[in-house]
Amino acid sequence: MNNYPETPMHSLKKLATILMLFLLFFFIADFLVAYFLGCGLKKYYGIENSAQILVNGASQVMLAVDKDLIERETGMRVAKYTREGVNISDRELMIHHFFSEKKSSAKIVVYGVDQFLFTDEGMSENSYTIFYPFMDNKEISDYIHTYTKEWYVYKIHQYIRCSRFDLYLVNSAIRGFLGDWSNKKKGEVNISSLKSNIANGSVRKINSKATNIATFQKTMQFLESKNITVVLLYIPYVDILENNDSKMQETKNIFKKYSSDHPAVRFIDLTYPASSEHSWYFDPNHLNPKGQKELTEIVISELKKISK
Amino acid sequence: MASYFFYLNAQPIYALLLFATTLVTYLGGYLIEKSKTGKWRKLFLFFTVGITILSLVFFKYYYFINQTIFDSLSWIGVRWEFPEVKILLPLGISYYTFQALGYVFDIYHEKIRTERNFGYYMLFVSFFPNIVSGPIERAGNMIPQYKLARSLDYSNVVQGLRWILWGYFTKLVIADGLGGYVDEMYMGVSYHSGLTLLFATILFSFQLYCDFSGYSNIAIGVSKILGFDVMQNFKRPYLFATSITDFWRRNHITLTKWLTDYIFTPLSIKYRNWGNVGLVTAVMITFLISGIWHGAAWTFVIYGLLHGTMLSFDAVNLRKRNKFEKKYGLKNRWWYIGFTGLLTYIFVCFSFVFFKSNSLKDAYIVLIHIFTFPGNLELGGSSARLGFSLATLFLVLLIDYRDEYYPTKFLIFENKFRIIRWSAYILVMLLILLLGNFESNKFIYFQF
Repeated sequence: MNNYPETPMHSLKKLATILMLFLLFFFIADFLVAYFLGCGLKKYYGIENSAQILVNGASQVMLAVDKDLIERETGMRVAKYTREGVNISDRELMIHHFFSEKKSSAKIVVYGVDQFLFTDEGMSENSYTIFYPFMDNKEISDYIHTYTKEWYVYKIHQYIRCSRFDLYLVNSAIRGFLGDWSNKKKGEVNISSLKSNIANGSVRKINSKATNIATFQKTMQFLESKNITVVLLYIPYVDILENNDSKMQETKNIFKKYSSDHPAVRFIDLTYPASSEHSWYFDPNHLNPKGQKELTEIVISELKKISK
Repeated sequence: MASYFFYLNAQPIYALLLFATTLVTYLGGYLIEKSKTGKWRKLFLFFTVGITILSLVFFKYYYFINQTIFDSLSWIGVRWEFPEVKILLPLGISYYTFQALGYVFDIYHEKIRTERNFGYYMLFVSFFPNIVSGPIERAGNMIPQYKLARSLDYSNVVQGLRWILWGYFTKLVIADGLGGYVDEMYMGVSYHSGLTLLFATILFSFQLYCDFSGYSNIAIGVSKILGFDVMQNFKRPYLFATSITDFWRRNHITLTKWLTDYIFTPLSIKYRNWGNVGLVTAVMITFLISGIWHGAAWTFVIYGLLHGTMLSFDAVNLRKRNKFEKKYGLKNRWWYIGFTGLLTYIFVCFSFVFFKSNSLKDAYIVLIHIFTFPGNLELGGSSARLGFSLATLFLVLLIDYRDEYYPTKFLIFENKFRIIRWSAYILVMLLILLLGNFESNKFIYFQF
């Protein structure tokens, strides 16, 4: 024991040592928690389960397709890599990401489409943030880097791994571990309030962009290059909204034409019977569990035909 | 300088108002102290308080007063109103006005001497951790601390960071998590069932607590790092308060103390010969001011009057209650404490219907739905966020329970074992990162 009083330099050294140890401790915990959540998320999206069918899309597809039911009825493993708010570029990246994983062996891709697929307005501008948990992947890292405005935001997510997750991704990770892919959107769409929204003009308008159509074609070409059968699954909006915009048919024709020009691409239009069945909808463009079950049955019969 | 820089950064033009309030109250305090006779002291007090309150009334209550006059005159068929003025509520005006007035009252009551150095007084009124949302400090506590020479102290930094960490946790994870649901349900009260509105009101009480105590803890933490001890603002007000009087000893403590010292006590002295009537009058006026301080709307007036009524009832029956509790030995019975705590909490939630509702009509609908149309419980658009917030709220309630009954046991942030302390810090940091709502940037009490 030395009895000399502590000098400022000693105090500083002590403080620095404590700080370093704390940071080390923090980064280890951060790494372990993020790794654990990452595993759950991969399970949820089916990225590491050597699936034979990949379902890809935004929230409409997420709520319209019942993964468990397809697996039970077809006997094939399904990966449901869907996320709310994703735009067509995000979707392209999701497809690339899925097929960059070693175990990916899908031979059928169910690619969700709708009347707003090529429209930018109304889409989230920061949808790239959903890829944060996978930013160790080079392509995803570059994608995030391109869209991140402030450099330090990118760096924070790069070094503090738990910051890559938000509450919804944590929720998805937990659901992945629990094996819960069920549709929780119970309830029915309020048609009268929707009608008043249409009357007020407060509904989204179709504004297809050529760049988005090109991205779609690029994605299809990528899948064709891998000898994958693509099912373009058209998820309709509730009928009074579906028929509200004359450009809807133009968008649908793009999918029809693409599928007729490419033998490996099929187009399934679910407008009939879904669109007029208001009790199947939770809101104007998302299905509730009842609608999900009905639509999944149709998808299953198509998948069975393809896999024969 | 740093405090003014902070304020200029948020609302540059209103820094002038802050400075004007500081100058008026400083000069007012000086003149009160220098006055030789009671008459002049009173006159200077009247003018200083009048001018200061006038600016608060203009910036905070102009629209409310105008609307009330317009509505009242409409009743008798007259259409008249003050000209429309577009005013943005100055940040923290209610807090710094009350803080500055406290200084003037303290000088008037000769509790403190005037501060000779205007710089210290400016710092007191504009002290950046407190200015936007309190705690409402006292000159007698803060100014002597500013004058002490200080250097960065390790233990102060650690304690301050603990306060900040816990403040961010309660704010970002719990308050903002619950806020989405509460706002969604209170947005269209007519469309929701009574059970849903009851649940939303209960959650609002915790949102408010976690939001405001969260901000207060951050302010206390920042002050602590700088070496200043700021008053605590909350002491587990819900479920642990066994009466409304007890509730106000635990909830927004610095406002309660301010109102008690500068409104209630002088009034109760003035009306002391009136007996219970005087006591009730003093309580009602105090809580009417408390209600109006919270917001420029009739809902806040009702909120204040409801609390005033309950507090009056409490005050008038205090002796009888004490006698009853003593006779049956109830004071330390767990079930009695729990029962009175629950009753108090139910009343507080009832008053929060008025606090949260956008109008008296909405408050009426909420209460009617709660009592006559229970219906089903709706979980809203983000049940995941709600679920996580409720789980973490349970953690906060556990810690509140520990602080209430075992303040020296089961310590976490203050545990003697470093491994436990550090694990707790890291766990809370990771929970903030994972579950925090970083998109919401509003603090409820900023608007007051």
